[in-house]
Amino acid sequence: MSEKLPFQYEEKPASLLISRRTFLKITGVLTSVLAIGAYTVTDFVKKRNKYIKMRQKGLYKDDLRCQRNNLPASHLNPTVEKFYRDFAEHPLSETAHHLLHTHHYYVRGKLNMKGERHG
Amino acid sequence: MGVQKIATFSPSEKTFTGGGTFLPGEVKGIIRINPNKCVGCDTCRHHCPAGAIKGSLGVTHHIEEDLCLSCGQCLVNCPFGAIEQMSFLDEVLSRLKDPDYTVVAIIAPAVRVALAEEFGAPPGTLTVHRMHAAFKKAGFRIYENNLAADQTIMEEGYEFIAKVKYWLLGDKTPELEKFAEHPLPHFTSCCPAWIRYAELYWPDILPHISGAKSPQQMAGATVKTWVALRLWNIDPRKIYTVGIMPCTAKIYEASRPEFKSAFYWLKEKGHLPEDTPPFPDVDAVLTTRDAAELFRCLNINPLNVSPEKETDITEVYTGGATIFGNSGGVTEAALRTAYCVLSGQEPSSWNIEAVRGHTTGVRTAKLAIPLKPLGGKKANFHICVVNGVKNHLEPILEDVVIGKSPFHFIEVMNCPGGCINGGGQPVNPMGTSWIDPLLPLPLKA
Ligand code: SF4
Ligand code: SF4
Ligand code: SF4
Repeated sequence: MSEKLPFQYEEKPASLLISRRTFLKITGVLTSVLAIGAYTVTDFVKKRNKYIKMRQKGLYKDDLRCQRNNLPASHLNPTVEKFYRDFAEHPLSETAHHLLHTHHYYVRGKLNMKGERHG
Repeated sequence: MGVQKIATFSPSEKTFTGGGTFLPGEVKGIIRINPNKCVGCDTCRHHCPAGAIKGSLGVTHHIEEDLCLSCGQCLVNCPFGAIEQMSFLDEVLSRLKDPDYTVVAIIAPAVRVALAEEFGAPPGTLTVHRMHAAFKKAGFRIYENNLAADQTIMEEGYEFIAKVKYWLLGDKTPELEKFAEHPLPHFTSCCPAWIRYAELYWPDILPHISGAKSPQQMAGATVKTWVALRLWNIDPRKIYTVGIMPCTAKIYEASRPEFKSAFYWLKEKGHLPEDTPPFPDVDAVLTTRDAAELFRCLNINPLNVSPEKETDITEVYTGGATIFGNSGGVTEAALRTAYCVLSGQEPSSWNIEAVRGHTTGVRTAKLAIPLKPLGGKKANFHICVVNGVKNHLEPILEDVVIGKSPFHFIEVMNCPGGCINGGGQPVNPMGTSWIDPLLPLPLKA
């Protein structure tokens, strides 16, 4: 499977059709783009990756903190244990079925006949 | 540095009327483009997973509500700050002032590594005890969304194990019969933008999607039943639950009409007077940005409060839960628990690097798990993590529809990188909105 960067921009085809009406506006956009100066799309994607990575690191740090406190995995959470012991009995129980599961996914295309199918 | 201010607007009457692809009561129009600020640079259209943005280069763009997932990816990527978010902050602030109500914050994992950005700290700065203290100072009680994520893993994990028993191990006992309608591969259900995407564009996939609610919805239903009745001893009608989310689609999720399960359960058990009108499990949702605004309104800086010393029982969570906010995290958390349950032993390491999405569009992995019921014989599980709906998901769904999917378990997160990059997060000029809004010449259509 060819993998694309999640944040990859696709180059617009050179043949992008532009009506005369929008031409002037594009000139305006180009002015904005010039104002951006050194920032290219590549920079943009790289920097975006950077803050995504920083936030992800933060959560893995929190994970290790929990692991050090003997809380690595969900079935070891004492509150969850208490929730089942005192109240919901066990996963997939009747109570869990009512409170923690959903029974509704809608086919939304049927709600809206004018909607177009994507892709 | 500093984050970009995102304009917000309040819901109107039109918000709840339903119509088109929305059921009555569902919040629509959460994300909108301000035509006076849009310059038609077309960036947003390239980030929209649903093809919901219309307009060509140089022309003011607009969002087709009926196609929109409310994910907010367009918003966090608009370089001109032209996209705005509907906010329920005023409603939450007035509830906080009402002494009759217990206002409960349900705080998502991704909030704790982004909230600090709004107060000048670098991205990824982890606040847990300070964040908890700040919410308490603002008048909230806390039910950790991470605790609900642990509940999600228990429910969804056991559901997955039941599907494995039925479909792979040929266990056709009567209590597993209902899984006959829910074939593998199993899809995760915690991302509301992904759910809406499937409902709109891939209805054939719906039977594959887990029936476990998202952590936010499990939290709401649990707070208004177990927590209210058994732990806090308060009237569930006087609880106001607020999801604190990195996500704009969660605003929509909370408003879905079926999520009133605490009400129906309480009613059936005789805990409510006959004339009680139905109430939702989650009353309101604030994005990370909204929460920061709330703190600013109340003159609280979460970075300066003294961290809470004791962890309440409703604040206990595990490592598996906190990584829900990263792409691949739900999968890793599910595997940690599934491994223990299926094999009867603990893995040598809890860290399953192979499924971490990081910034890769699709991660796939094969994991061998020894099965206790088969005397320790190993079974191979094929796992797939989809990191961002845009660009990667369709070929995987096509394989499922034609019955050729090699996978048993597929995680889908709408936002690249996971919820830490959700549409409700602080907009950081490091990547998004990378130019001064005053620089470009705004164009009017
Ligand atoms: S200015 Fe913002 S809203 Fe307008 S086209 Fe560009 S990205 Fe989209
Ligand atoms: S909110 Fe998401 S689905 Fe809606 S227009 Fe923006 S990017 Fe597209
Ligand atoms: S990936 Fe997370 S933040 Fe993005 S739409 Fe889904 S739940 Fe919301």
